[in-house]
Amino acid sequence: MPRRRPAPPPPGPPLATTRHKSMPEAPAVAARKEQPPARRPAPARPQMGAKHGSFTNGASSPMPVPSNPPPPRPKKPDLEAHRCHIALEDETIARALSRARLPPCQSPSAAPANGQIAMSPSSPNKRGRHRLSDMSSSSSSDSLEYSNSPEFSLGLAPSPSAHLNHQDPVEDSSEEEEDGEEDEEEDYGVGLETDLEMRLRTSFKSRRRRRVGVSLSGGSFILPRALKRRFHKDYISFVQENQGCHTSGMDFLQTLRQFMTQMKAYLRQSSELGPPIESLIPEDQIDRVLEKAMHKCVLKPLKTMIEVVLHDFQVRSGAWQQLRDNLALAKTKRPQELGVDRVPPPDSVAIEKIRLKFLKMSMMYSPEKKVSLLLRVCKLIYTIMQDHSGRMYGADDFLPVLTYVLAQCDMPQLDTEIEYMMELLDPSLLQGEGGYYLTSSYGAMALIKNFQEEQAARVLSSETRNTLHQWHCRRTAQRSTPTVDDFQNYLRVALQEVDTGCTAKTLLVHPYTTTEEVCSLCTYKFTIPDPENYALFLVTEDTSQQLAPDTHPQSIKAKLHSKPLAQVFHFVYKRKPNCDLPAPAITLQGHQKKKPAL
Amino acid sequence: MSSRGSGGRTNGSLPQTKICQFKLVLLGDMAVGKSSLVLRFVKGQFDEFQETTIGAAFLAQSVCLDDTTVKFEIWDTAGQERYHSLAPMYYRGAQAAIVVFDITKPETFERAKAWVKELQRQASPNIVIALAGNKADLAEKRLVEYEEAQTYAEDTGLLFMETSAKTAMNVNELFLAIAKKMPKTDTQNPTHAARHRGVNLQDPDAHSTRACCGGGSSSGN
Repeated sequence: MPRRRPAPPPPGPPLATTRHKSMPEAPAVAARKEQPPARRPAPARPQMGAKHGSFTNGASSPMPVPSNPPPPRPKKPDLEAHRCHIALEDETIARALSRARLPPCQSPSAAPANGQIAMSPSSPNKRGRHRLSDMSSSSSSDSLEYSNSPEFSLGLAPSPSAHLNHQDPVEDSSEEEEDGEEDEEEDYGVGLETDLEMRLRTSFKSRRRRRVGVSLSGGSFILPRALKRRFHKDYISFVQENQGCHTSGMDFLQTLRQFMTQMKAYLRQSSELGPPIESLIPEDQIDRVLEKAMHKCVLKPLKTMIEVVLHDFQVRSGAWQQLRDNLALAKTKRPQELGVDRVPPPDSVAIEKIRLKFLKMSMMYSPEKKVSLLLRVCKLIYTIMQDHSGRMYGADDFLPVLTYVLAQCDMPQLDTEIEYMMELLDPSLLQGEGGYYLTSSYGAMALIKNFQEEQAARVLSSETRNTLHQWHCRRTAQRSTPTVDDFQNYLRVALQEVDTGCTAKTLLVHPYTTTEEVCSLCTYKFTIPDPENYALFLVTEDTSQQLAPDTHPQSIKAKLHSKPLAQVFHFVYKRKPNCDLPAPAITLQGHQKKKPAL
Repeated sequence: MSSRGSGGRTNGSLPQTKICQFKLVLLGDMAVGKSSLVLRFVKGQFDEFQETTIGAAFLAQSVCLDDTTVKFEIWDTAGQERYHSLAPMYYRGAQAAIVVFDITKPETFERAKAWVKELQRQASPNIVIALAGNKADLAEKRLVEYEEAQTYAEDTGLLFMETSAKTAMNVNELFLAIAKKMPKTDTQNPTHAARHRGVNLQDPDAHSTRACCGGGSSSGN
């Protein structure tokens, strides 16, 4: 029986080069999310960058070369090129394939027994238009019931050995996926029953295959075993060696995604595969089949390791602790404080049920399966919301409840779960229903992650804030007559620091005081050691502009106040963008505007 | 119901016609009737052309034009201020947007303008934006004049209609107008091709005769 290398031990000491980004905060995330389409899709033909000695050798020689030191990492890594290194080179794959090539006609019985990867189209008539929403709507049995998976046990982390032991019997289990989302759980069960069941179903399967006219040489499309083994063996060692090259968990996942995408593209075009893939699988299903195969031979063996790497990134960046703290804080909040005010929130029994579903979700390796469980959770939330009222709820109500649920579940690991799905899901599926609820979960989690900061920025409890908001509305509603605020010689200036958040002071600023003078006043009041790096900014809802030294903040304020429509704005004393990372500035802008201009 | 628009039916036999799929995002202040508007649209259609979804925050509905079925995947957003920062995640990649305000609440109109501005600056360059002045049935409480919104929409290049989710006034018309405005030979629309065929967009060989709206040409994107 082919032995797999178990997932490697937790990665070594932190790398000096790792200048972590803090976990993406919502606005930054939003900006970041603009990027992936550009960087994620791989070119049709794997476009390989410069040669990467260590990996090329590792993959093409019979012996892996994990002892090679990782390549020196440039200060600012060219991520694209780097991913290209990581993704396989054409030649490498070709060689691996030809070495491992099996006879074109593989006997069907041999396939499942040999630990080979079997890829088969599962029920094409159904899968052809497969979408995440299909999965969701078919899971309508999803009531308040617990999982019906008998193998499911609480808190049991899927160990690599479980995969190992069970690998062979479930090789063909992709066939079974039409049976619904329970398939993957079989991977965690004991192999024998499944094996037996598989054999029993064979006749049905072959009938089905004939029906859709797919000839698979009587068996399955085989990705050669040796390739598969090399595949993740090399990949694991390569991932281990090059962990330091990744700047964040997200970056790491994107590399994995790109690897899978390129591998898929390669396999589609490769003449090395015999028989050609087109002869085995209807054209419109090839991608799905390959995607599933990638999940199986890349994500499945690497799952534990991916989790370790992601967690490690979080711990090293401090994001883990921040997340835990914020989750704990958010958990203490009443539903109203999280914006749940028009529907009764889920009770503790429902929360426990949702927790169990989330635990089950975290045991899956396939991002699609995870998403389908996430959809079940969302559906459960809707059921709870609707049970109380019978009406349909949109995002105004759903998102606060989801945020509340995530806070109550108090599962910090969900953050990496969501990231895993966001980054590894087949990009074409991100547009549909699964993508929608994934986005919502991501957003809700981002809010929770920044809960403390948000609170700090608001300073006030939500009730007071509401009162204040109403007051602010009233006040600004009659803008036609200038208020005393327009004339008084005070200016509220907030100091925004990367590490300590925001503090605001009211300064005595006369109408003809220049920005330059206000800056020196700020330097003094806020005790800034390096005032040359700071400047005064006018931050409005959508802009942040640095004020020129000779402008007059009071007159700017007066102009803004005299506009017919109240615009929320703040004067913020902060680092100039070229002096520091721009990200926090953007982030805090969001918080700033929640404070009324006093 | 005044909602059966002319020049197109919102339902019909799905088809040999081409199918275009678009992501549409709903923006607007809390409680202006974003979801009511969409629910009215979706519920007003025949069931067989609806796609079941788990809830009303995401809905999918097809509209039939002459030779094309336009399928909208409708992403609702939370209008509360605290969720504002999440909005770009929702409108990213959207090919259409409906910005909704409440004609009885001027501040929601101002908010709508801010959304339009944000979309025009940050969303996909070719996004089709429609402005909906909702709650038109509450004419006696009107505080945003039709002409004001109309002028703004003209100046800004938006579709504009006053709607009422309650009476269904202009609801279907609005979606039909958007559907007609959608580029049917859109090469920037990665969704429809991929979703109907489940193929890798990165693969130039992934042409399919089932690709709609010139989707075949989109595979190079």
